[in-house]
Amino acid sequence: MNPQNRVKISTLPTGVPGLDDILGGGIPEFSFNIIAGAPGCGKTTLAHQFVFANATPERPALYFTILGEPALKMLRYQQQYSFFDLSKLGSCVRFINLSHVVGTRGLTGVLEEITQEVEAANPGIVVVDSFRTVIRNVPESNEVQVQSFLQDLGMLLTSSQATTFLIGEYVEAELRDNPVFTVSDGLLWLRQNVEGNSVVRKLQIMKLRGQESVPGMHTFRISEAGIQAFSRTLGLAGRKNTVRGASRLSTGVAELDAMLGGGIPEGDSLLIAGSSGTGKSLLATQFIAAGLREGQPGIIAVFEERPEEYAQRAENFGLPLHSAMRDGNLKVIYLRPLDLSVDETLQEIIDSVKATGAKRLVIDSLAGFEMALAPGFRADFRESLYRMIYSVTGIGVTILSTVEMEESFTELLFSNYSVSFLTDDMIRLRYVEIEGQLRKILMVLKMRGGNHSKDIREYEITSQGIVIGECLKDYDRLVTGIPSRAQRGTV
Amino acid sequence: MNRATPSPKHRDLVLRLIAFEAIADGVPGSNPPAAFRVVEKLRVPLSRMAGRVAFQALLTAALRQTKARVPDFQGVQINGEGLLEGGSGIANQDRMAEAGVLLISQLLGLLTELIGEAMTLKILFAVWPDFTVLPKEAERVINHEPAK
Repeated sequence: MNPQNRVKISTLPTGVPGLDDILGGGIPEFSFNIIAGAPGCGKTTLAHQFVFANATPERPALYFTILGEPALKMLRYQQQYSFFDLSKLGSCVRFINLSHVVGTRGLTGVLEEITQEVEAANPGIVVVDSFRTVIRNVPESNEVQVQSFLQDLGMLLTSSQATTFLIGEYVEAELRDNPVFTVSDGLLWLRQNVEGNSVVRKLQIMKLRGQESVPGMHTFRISEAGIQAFSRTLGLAGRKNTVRGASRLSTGVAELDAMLGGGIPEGDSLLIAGSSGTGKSLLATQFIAAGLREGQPGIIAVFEERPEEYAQRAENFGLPLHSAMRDGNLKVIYLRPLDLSVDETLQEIIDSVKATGAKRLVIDSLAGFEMALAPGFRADFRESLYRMIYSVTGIGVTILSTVEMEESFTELLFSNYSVSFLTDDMIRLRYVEIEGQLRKILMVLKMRGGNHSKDIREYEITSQGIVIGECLKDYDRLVTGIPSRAQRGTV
Repeated sequence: MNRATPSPKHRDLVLRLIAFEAIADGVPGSNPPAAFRVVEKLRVPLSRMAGRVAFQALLTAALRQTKARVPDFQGVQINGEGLLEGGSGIANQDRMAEAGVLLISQLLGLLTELIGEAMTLKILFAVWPDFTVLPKEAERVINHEPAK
């Protein structure tokens, strides 16, 4: 149909940060939805968040409770969330218990009661919690009865222009041939899996008529603020990509810029790999400081030390991070190792990038990042990191990540984490043993955007930062860490 | 709202509710029936919000605790509709008045422990929108002053 002739489906905000992005804009108005999942996974909380975000005195929300969680207990616990607005109770949000109706009058009675309440209140939102118990507690119910009840209920609420949520404890095996799922316009499935000592919560939009939602499993967290969802696209889907590599960004080390062919291409992801003490963090800080000198805000995500310590260490090298933090041009995000999910960590980084207008982002380090995650999320690490790098570089931010390498003196490892595929450019720092000294060498391994120096250069860490020296042409097998003096020019 | 012994503040709140109902009755001294009507008026929104069974469970617990402290209240029962019955033939009016106060205090105390004071007050305001601003007649009821 011609788009101009189509009925326009408005959407309602869910009140759940991140969920509207996942749904493709919000919940379609007047839709008939199921929130399904096992007990304790956040179904009621999700419904409450939606209700308190949308109910008005003119179009109140009717929240029917049946035989699930006792209503008084539900109110006792739900009011602990910050979204629970007591002033809306009664005028905008009305709780109605129908447990006696189910027992005495069955599905017909439930439908009659809901009809009566809906006609009296003209609600904009109707929630039935738990709908599953309605079905379970009607012994004579059969599939035809249930289907008929659902269709009548759906018709009543849609014609009353109410957006509806039926909440039910379902398991995925019940998806097939269940009339509830057939009739519904939207199906939001919540899960929580225990992995090790951690709980991993995921949600999935299994069905949504009328609009395009983001497919797949999305992490969510339940906190004092309620549910927060983290879209797999990190809220950056559909953003217009900037032209990558349009300009070059200085690393803050002129010789290294030259080795990179003029600096890091804007919008690239650069990985610095090296073992402990090789200067990865220093190089990352010099990269940020160079941006600050050029008026480019930056973000540093640290996992292994606190922002104050990180900034102080930079100050020792003459890199004034403190003043940039005070001026709001630099944000150092300290992500504590407390069962983080990848997506919420990435969301915090992205929110900071958006808030500061950052052009440069440092992740120091990927190893620290992974260790900060709950074990259950580590399986998602590479995939999530890929999504973040793709999304953030897509909006023109240049990323420098560091990765700790276990040093081998027989071969040159690129990365323990097999994340090299995530990066456009890669620099390797390593120790070498030369003439009884442990010295440091640096090499550019990869530049996706073009040519780069093939030199293996010695460097030192000085009070002025990284200072790159000459190419060590007199040695062979430098990459092994145990070079030998080259035998050249002799016949 | 302490369940065992209502604080002066909560006692005052309960007295106000009873006074409101007593005035509506036109019989200022009839404390037990007024207290019963407070319960009856609470029954409607609470049963609607939390279910009949939940309301009756709260009232049963409140009545049990009241009877333990005021044995004269033994004859008071909850019928199938969740209404109080059997308070009529009690001789000692002062003790009965106190029992009425205690019963409602217990009921509101239980409710407050479950859903908090703010939400409990919200429910009370929905039933008695003006109960914090008592007419003079009600003040006399609370203070046991004779009607003029």
